[in-house]
Amino acid sequence: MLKCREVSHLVGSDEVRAASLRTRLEVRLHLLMCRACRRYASQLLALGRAVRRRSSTGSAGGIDGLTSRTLDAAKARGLMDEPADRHDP
Amino acid sequence: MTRDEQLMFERVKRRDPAAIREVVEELMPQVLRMAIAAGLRREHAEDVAQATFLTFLESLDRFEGRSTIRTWVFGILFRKLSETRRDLRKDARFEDVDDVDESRFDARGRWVRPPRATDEGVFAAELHRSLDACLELLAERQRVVFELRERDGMSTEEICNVLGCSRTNLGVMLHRARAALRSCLEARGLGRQDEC
Repeated sequence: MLKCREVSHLVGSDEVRAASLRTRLEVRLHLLMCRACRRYASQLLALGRAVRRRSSTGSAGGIDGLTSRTLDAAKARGLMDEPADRHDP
Repeated sequence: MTRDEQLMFERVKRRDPAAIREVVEELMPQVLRMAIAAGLRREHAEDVAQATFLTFLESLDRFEGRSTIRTWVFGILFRKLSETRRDLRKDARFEDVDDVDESRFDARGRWVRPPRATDEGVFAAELHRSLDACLELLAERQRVVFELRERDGMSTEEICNVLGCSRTNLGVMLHRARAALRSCLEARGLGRQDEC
């Protein structure tokens, strides 16, 4: 029988996805019987959903600056096809 | 490649600035997180991320579209990260030891303090309020690995291919990140006091 400690690790590490059929069944059986682990597993799923719903800003802050700097560097090295300058006769 | 990927590939090959901007905007967050997850400090990670896209654009003529743009970019990133391994932080190694569980379970492997009950709706609302604060408390590498997996939806294989880590290494980091996040949320009052 799997212990709560093992189930929490299998679920939290995603190892359960790559586990053997037998292990996956044991996890499922444990979750059926153990309310605490069931809560744990469903809270981790909710965590994932919450992060996905979030815009791409947040903790990846400063990305826009990095993106502009990268595009500027690419332009400076002639790596991008520059649109014709309309003000130039 | 899908039809959209094929169209994008052709535009990027022509060095269409709008297409290139789109590619950089879409992939930059993942490339940067990956570089941080590999153990680079923020500033160094930004340099590597920028260099990855410049190399991508420099090597465009050799890119024949047999893989997707995304795979090609991550391949370049993998080589750049391999080159910088020696400059990695001292704590950049992946650990297998799992001490996160020691205090959470008793000697028989059972929960010392079982997770509190949560109502689906309330949980979502409180999560929304506290998530950023709790993410900030994670070690940076843990946080970005969690984000690569959950926010960017990258598979374990895809992440490990770029970072050169094993499934077990990555699993330990994910497990720690999720356990720490959940405890942080619970400590901030998430969930009802248990009735059982």
